[in-house]
Amino acid sequence: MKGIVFNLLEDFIIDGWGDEAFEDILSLCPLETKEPFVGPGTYPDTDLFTIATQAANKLGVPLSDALRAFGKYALPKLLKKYPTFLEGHTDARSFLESVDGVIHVEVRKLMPKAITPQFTYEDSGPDGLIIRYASARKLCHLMEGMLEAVGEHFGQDLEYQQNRCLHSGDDHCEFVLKFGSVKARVA
Amino acid sequence: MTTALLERKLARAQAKIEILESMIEDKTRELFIANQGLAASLDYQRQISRILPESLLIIRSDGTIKDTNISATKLLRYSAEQCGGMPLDKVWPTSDQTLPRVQDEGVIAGMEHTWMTADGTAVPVLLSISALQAGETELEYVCVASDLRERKQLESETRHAQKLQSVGQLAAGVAHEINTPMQFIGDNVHFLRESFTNLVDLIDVFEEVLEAVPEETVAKSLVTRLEDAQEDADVDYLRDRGPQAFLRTLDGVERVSKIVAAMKSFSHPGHDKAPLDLNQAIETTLTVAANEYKYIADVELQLGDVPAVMCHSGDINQVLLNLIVNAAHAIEGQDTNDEKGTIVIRSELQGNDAVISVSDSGCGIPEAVRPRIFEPFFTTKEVGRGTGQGLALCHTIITDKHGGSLTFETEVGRGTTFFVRIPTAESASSPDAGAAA
Repeated sequence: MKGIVFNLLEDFIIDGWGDEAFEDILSLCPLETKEPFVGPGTYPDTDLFTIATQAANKLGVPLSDALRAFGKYALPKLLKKYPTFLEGHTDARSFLESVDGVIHVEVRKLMPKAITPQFTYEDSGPDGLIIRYASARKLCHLMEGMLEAVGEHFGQDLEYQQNRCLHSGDDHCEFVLKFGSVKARVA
Repeated sequence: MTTALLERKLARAQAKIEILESMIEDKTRELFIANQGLAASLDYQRQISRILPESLLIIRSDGTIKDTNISATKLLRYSAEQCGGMPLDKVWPTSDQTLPRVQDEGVIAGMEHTWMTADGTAVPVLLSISALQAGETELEYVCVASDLRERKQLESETRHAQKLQSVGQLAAGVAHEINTPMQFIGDNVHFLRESFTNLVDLIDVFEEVLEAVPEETVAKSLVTRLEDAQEDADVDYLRDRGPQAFLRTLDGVERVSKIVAAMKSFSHPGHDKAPLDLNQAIETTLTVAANEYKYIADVELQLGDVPAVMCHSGDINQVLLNLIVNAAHAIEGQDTNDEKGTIVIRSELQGNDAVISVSDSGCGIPEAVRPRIFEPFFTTKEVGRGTGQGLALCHTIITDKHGGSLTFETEVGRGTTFFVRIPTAESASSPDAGAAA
């Protein structure tokens, strides 16, 4: 996992629960990585899950909820850092359809060691889209939070229903999306 | 926030800075090495492109030349700087019809087209073109061209040789058919000549007998009949002209036989090199070519003492024939008030080389065309008369097949001399001789 995700998780905890909470959580994590996480670095996935699990425990919420909240928090930060990924997109659908073919390609260019998840798309009508997510990390809860953040960014109602899940033994997670009209865009 | 907490945060931030600095250094080093590798790779590709015998052109989508290799600049006779940005249709006039096809099909290989060089020479080329579009780069075309002039020349020479072979086979057949009747015509003329002499002798005896016999012993009517028959037969005229007619007939028969023998000699040159008497070859060729020059020029032979040379006799005969016919055409092309010109053919030994020169008193070769007279397809003769192959073929035969040289001296309005120089058998080092060694 790239260091930028660790840094976002750190910011997420500090913004939500303060520096002391983060230091406490970090002090309880038996991490493989001994040095601080930096954006361009690549670190074990297990370290991310250890911190996230410890944070969920500390805050008394399920890990899935913590990851969903983290996804919703992280997406606007990533869009602010890489605004070019938004260029040409005026709605959530257009943006989401560019994730696998454009954004993940650019991520791999910027960070050659990055391992990105695989997305496949199926058109299910003018306001519908099916996204299939496959990743060994099984971060579908993080994705749920990101989907909600995408809808908010474009000021658009975005409902989703998850039919299949990696955590249930499927080989991918399937999200059936339904888009409402664009109302007001989040700055 | 406690001091201890702040210190931990500060320590972590400082450690992050150190790690990032180290990463930047590593990345800078990686970039430097990658740049070096890229430069080496570019240099390697340039080297390959430079030594490619084929012409390589990189063409932009707007039809202008972006880059060329050395072979291309040599072929087109433009400098690399002149080529850069030049519209492709300047060297390849029909390129606008081909490039859209390449864009559609991706690759087109094995097309024959004609390119124009800086000096206006049309060059036949074999082309392979690929459309190249890597990532987000602009569409380009990679064009590889092979110069087909040498191959075309070889094909033409082969066709010419095949044509000559057909003509030779035809000539051999005709010669064979003529030879047999000519033999019995000659034999019969010899027989008739002897018979005529005998008959004239017999008539002489009759006349002597008639004069010796007393008039009254022979009937007057018989004498008158004999005298009338003598007058009708014009015996004195026959006695005077008959032998000459036989001599001319025999001379004619001999000339026909000689021509037939020469045609057979041309038709069966043999495939291997063999010692050839050049003076004999000159005389044989003059016999065959007589019709080309006899009304145009007088031929003067100055044949020296030349040893036999190892060569393909048919090829040498072909060279001599072409030079003699060219000499006749050069004289014919000059306004001389119907006066005959002169062709002088010399042979001599110069060092280890046998040298044959064919001089004519013709129009000479203009300076502008001198550099090109040995080029295939180049001719100044009118359509249908010259193929532009004669001197090119002569040059190939003498230089490539016999390790010799074919040169000329010329003066406009005064005439031209061609020099055929062939190593003699002792010093021959022609490609064939080398191969045999």
